Amino acid sequence: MKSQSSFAFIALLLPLLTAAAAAEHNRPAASPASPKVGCIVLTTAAEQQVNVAAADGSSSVQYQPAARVVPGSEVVWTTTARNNCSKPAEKVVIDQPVPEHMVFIADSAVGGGAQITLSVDGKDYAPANALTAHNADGSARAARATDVRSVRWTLTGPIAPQSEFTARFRAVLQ
Amino acid sequence: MKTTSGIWLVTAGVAALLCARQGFAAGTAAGTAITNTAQVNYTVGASTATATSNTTTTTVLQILDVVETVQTPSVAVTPGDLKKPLTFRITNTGNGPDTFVLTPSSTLAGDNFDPVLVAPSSIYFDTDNSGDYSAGDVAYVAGADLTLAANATVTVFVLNNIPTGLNNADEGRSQIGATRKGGAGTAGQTIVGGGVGGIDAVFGSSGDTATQFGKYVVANNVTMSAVKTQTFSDLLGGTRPLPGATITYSVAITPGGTGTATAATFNDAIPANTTYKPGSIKLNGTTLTDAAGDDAGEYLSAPAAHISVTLGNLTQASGVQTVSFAVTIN
Repeated sequence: MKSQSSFAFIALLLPLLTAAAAAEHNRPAASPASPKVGCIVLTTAAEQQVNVAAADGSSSVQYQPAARVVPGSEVVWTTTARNNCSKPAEKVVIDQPVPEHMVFIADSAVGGGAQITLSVDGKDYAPANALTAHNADGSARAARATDVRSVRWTLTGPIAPQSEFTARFRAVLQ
Repeated sequence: MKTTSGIWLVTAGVAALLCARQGFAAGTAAGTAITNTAQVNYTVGASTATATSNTTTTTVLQILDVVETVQTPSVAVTPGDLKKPLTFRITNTGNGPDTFVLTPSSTLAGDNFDPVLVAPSSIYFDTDNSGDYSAGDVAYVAGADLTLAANATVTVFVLNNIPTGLNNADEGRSQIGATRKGGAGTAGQTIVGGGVGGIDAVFGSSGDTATQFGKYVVANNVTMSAVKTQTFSDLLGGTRPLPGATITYSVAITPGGTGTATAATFNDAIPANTTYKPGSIKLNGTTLTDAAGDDAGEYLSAPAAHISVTLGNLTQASGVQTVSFAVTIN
């Protein structure tokens, strides 16, 4: 219900309706899809962490759609994998690139029950502490957060039928 | 009702995020579409499958921000100087083209005098990129649009005339303001459709207005004039310049202008064919010794015979200083 109102909100304010429309289109179907292909529906969203003040003075962190952002602002890239089938989805590996113009924030990738590895080229992945990049002269060095161009979640267990796995990382708009 | 709360939440979010962006210049161009597509590989039973997500698109808003710096925080002037420039740099630190209006002012608080903005144009662009106000520089027409691309900088000069009748070290301030043509705002405030290509614009930390001042400082401009007179006293009790006669020189030193002459010293050579008369140095009527170090006066025989009197710090208020000494004609 909450996310529905968020999408309605995008539709109201965002001239670029395609993304929102695509998101609606890709929303989990009510009935299970084919058991072989199309079990997992993958949805990405750009969100922003917002501290929402409640009437009683407390505040809570919520994720709001980040349809439009300003340079220097932080965007939470959220990928949701939903298994619409009646069988578990196994050996799930999710790759999400760090978008152009954005800089990965160190240690910001999260996703319960998954091994998280990073890549500087979108091909070879390694844990953050083992990731290397290359200097201009070709010599290798330890990679920095700014080198990261893609994040991979390798799930340690299956996604149960009708369940979701949520992966997130944060990046700053240059 | 739902929509209203949604707008409020996102507005709060933008404001909060803006706080974190200080120190960023320009950044990704306004209107840029940031897209992202994720991919998943998995197996169900014995089958392997791949799926691609929707493509998320986020549009970069236009930030309205400006920074101004004064390149010449302090300029030395002399009272009565004309067309003295102060130099400023104005940079569009937003991420899209932005139009500003420039406003000079020289009637500011916190100084000793008001410089006078040059008429009809007090603002000039550094058209020839010389870094200095020069003949090829073009005047800014009051109220005209100044459009700067993202991260573009313009150097401008503010010209003032300096009044007369000022004291040394007096300060006069003059400033220039650069403000968004449509008006300044508050950080985080959104102008719907106010950005390049009709996207929304958000005011950065400056509120899209910046003002800096520079100052003119009246430089040390002290003047010193000296008038020398001589009187003769011959051995016969007359006033003829005969051998053995005494010549008494008297030099009246008058400080003028503005400022302070620090550690002023008066030196005068003993004329040829004369001999210094020991113990004859006087300053303002007070006799000084010939020896060095014990008082303000001394006589030196080498390299060329001369007397030297230390006058100290002199200003116009010090008044006339009179040094006298005597020689005898060989």
